Amino acid sequence: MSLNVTNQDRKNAKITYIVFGILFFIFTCLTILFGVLLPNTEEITALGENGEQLQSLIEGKDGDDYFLLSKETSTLYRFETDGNRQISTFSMSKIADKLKEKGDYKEGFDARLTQWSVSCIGDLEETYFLAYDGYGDIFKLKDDGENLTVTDDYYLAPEKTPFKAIDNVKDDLYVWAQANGANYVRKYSVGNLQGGYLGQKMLCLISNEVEGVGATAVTYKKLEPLQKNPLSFNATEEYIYIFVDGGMMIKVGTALRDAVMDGKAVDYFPLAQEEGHQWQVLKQQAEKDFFVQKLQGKMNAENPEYTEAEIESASVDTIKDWYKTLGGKVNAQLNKNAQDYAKKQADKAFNEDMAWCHYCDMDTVGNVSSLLLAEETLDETQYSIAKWDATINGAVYSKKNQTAYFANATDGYIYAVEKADLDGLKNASLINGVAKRIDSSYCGEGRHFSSFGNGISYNKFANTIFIKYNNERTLSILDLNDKNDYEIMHTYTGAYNAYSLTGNRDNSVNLIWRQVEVTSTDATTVTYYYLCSFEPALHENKTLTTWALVICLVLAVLCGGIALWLLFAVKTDRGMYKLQCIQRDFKKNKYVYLALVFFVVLLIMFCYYEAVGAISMSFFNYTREEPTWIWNNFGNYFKVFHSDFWLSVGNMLFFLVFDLILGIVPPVIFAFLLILIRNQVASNWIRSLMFIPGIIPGMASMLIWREGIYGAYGIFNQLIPGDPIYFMSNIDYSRWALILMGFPFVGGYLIFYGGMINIPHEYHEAGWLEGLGVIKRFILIDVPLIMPQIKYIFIMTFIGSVQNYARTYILKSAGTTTVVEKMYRAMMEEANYGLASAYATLIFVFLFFAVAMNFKMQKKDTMGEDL
Amino acid sequence: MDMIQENVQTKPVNLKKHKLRMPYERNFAQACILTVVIFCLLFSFLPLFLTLVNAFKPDIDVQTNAFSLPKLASFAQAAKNNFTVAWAAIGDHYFSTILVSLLGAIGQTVISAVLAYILTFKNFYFKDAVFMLFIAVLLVPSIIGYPILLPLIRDKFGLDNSHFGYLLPIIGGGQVTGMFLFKTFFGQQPKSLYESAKLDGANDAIILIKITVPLALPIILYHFVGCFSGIYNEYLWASLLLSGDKQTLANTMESAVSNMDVKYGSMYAMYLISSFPLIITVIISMKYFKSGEFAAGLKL
Repeated sequence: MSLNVTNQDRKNAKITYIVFGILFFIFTCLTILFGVLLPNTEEITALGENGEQLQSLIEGKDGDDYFLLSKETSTLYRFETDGNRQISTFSMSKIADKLKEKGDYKEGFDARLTQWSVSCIGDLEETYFLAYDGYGDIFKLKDDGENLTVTDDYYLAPEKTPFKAIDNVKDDLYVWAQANGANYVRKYSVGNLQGGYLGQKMLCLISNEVEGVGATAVTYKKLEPLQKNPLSFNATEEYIYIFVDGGMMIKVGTALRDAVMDGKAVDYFPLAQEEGHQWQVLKQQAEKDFFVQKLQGKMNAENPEYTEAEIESASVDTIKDWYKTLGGKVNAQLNKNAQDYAKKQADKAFNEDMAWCHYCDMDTVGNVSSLLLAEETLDETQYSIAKWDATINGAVYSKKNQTAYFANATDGYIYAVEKADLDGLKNASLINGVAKRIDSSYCGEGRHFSSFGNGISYNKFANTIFIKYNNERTLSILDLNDKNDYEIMHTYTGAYNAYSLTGNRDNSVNLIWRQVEVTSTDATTVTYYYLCSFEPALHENKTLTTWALVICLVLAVLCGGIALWLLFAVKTDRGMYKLQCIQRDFKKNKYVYLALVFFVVLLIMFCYYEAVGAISMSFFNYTREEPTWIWNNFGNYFKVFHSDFWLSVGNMLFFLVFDLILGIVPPVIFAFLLILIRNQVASNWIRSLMFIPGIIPGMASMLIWREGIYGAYGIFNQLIPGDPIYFMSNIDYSRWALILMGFPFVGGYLIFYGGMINIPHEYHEAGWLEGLGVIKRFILIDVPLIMPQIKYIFIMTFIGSVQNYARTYILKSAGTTTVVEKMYRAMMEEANYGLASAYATLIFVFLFFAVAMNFKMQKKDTMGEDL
Repeated sequence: MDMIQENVQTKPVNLKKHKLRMPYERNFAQACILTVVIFCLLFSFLPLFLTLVNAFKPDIDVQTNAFSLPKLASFAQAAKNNFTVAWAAIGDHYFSTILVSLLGAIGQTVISAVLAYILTFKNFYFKDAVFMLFIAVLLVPSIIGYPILLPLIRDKFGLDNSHFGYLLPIIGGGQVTGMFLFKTFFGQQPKSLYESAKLDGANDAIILIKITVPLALPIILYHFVGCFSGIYNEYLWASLLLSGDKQTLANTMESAVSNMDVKYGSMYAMYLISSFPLIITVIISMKYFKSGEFAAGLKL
């Protein structure tokens, strides 16, 4: 092609580069514009950035504000939902100050400050907040719209009864507590906490089996309460509904006794006893008339007088009296009194409906606390437990709709059950019975509701449900306002795995998400907490703007690059020539380029994107649970090198060496032997037959080696007498057994055979005439001439061996972990994609250098040949 | 090809007349060679032999002597039991896996062939750059991309647990190996044929279908067969993306054996069932690759 550049061409080229320059300028401006416009409001506070532990978010009364409780600093921050401005703070230490002021302060109270929870009591005339600690104390905080103040009205628990959940109906406050190995629902009056609690129902759930409350007392030797976390605790006028983990609803009637017992509801007194004593059974016969059936064991060793004490029965009042008169030591003499008492009561059969029992824990000093009891006749209308087959990953109750909603993990739908149906429910299957399926809530094939806490949360201000999904940073919002047409209103993508969230009236959501990070120097983990906010409008804008920004940036870079190249190209003849060539080429081959777009897109989408992504990901924290791109200062690599990495490298190299030897030497020899066979018919037959073992699929073949050959009943153990040898789990054998797999290793002979058959016969004849024997001929003639094939197999085996995770993984061999198997396990078992990527990157680097070196060496070889 | 035919035809005549037998062509040496070769052959048959024999034996016989032949008395009953259990374990996944593997292999082969055609016979300015773009991928181990690939297919494309999503990266990523292989062979085809076809007014599609593909049929079949059994044996990608009914055969077999759903005799019956699709690929291989001649082009 001749060089023929006219001024017109130059002019055209100049115009072109000016056009591209202008385009570059426009796109750059647009990129900057979108960058400025990009709403950067998701992270609204840096509170958690230093690892400060944020505990929970609490809804305010009317959705104008919300509260953030920080565990570490024991502070309650008040935020405005609109604009997410921090309004005020409230320090939990003010509660201790109040106690000091009132003279109720006890030693050690300050230490409990980190265990506070706070709840808003909304439907009263005045807004109150209740603060309760892990000990069972409740404080009332008055809200004046801006600040919280501690009121005089509080209740100090005499014994530790940690609260699990709290709810109120007007002035009645119900609490789910767990103490002394049992679950309780207690009732307090919000108007007067000082009055103690009004009564309680004990929920006896034994060993996950539902056992009706008040069954035969004697069977209750030891109560093992169901250690379940509440998904949702809801008090209504008639019933309290408690939805717990694992798909169970406990329904308790609210008709608790409305009388205050002695001002404080707990009969609480110490009883001098040694370890080994236990209250076995306690029965209530009538109000305030409790009955110890058996108290046994040894008395205080310092007082030999009372070594043996067996009290068959005594009333609580009696025991109290003993305690008073004997200074805490139960006298065996009193045994008689108790027996008398028992006799007196003998004709009164224990009424099982009224019976109550309680197992008491003792501390090491021997103090037995809490002779606790329910006061009710416990009939089924007042108490029931419903359990259903489906796995429930979340449950909420809407007081406004009087409906409960369940996230059914089994089929992926949310179900709604109305209150009337819940009330009539006994041990029934809820999902298959009265529940109504919400079709629009289907979470999608292969997708699941989050099993991380409660999979759904209720937003009482907007009457919607937030749905969280497993392993996803997505929140969907289900609108509950139209009972006949529930619909998914909105989906936030990029909403992190929230462990505590509150919703606002406009369906925006505030959430705390947690990030576990590996620090680089010593591979320890630190947990960071972030407070974020997602707003529907802002969120949609952000997605759009981000896309626009990325597209503009790519176009700007492209136009800039072309303009820059043109700028230099027009200056020289050579450049102009190149430009013309490219222009002509584009014109001529436009369909070729068009077709190539398809292939290149596939390539970039499924090869480059993954490779570049994986290498980048290895520098970030990214797990299935928390799919977030957070830089972790090479933490993944530190983790890799802190594990038994070099051991796995050793294994990898061990297998690599043997794979290379066994992948080349036996097949080459076998191929050579086939060449030597004189009888062409036999050779033909053998080559045909060699294909037949290939009908066993690779997976089946590996499983045959695992079970049928190396297994406990495999052929090796059948041939070797004695106890079975577990080749795979025995470190002495496992790696050699894996090497031996595929004996006699001749499967890959065909390519070498193909190479050898093309060697001209004259070479061999010449060699023979020179006096070369068969072996020398093999080494000096055949092997060098099939070098291209050997190199091909060498590289393929090299890459295949390093990447072969299946051999060690599927054969379940011990002590043979390779790097790629570690990567596979990091990905599949730990679901730590960042860590898996770090392994993958190291493998890539190794392979890259190995293969590049190989190519370089080969290039040298061929150059040598040319010379 | 010419040379081999020549060898086969002329060998008996020429050799007998003009030269002595080489030492290795003596009877004793030949017997030794054949013994070694047949020994290797027999051992290569070991897994297949175990499968064939044990699929028809009751469990107790498999446990005590895996080498014994099926007994006539227990044959029918054992075969019925074993195959019933085996089919119950993998039956639901059997035909779908065959279909998926077939589609995947066809897709991969067709795309590779078209791409190789473009990169071999079309001359354009950025040809080398594009070729390097494709070839560079060979250096990247395919396994490293899965942490990125999985969310892409599952969440962004919404193709969780779908066979289409399963095949997409297999086809999209597999085009490179095929292209590299085909390009080597296409390049060895006589240029004169193409020139005369162009003179006769054939367009690219006709040249590809009528000249390139028939000439390179063995290597295309080789690649197709390799793709088919590759996808048929796929384990990792299927275990990541697919579950339940959509799961492929290899994963179903592995979990069935690991969970002890199938044991001993039925285990071998399962392998035998899973072998059937590969019989066809083996027949194709026998027909085209027995001579090993295709391997001449396989080099780096």
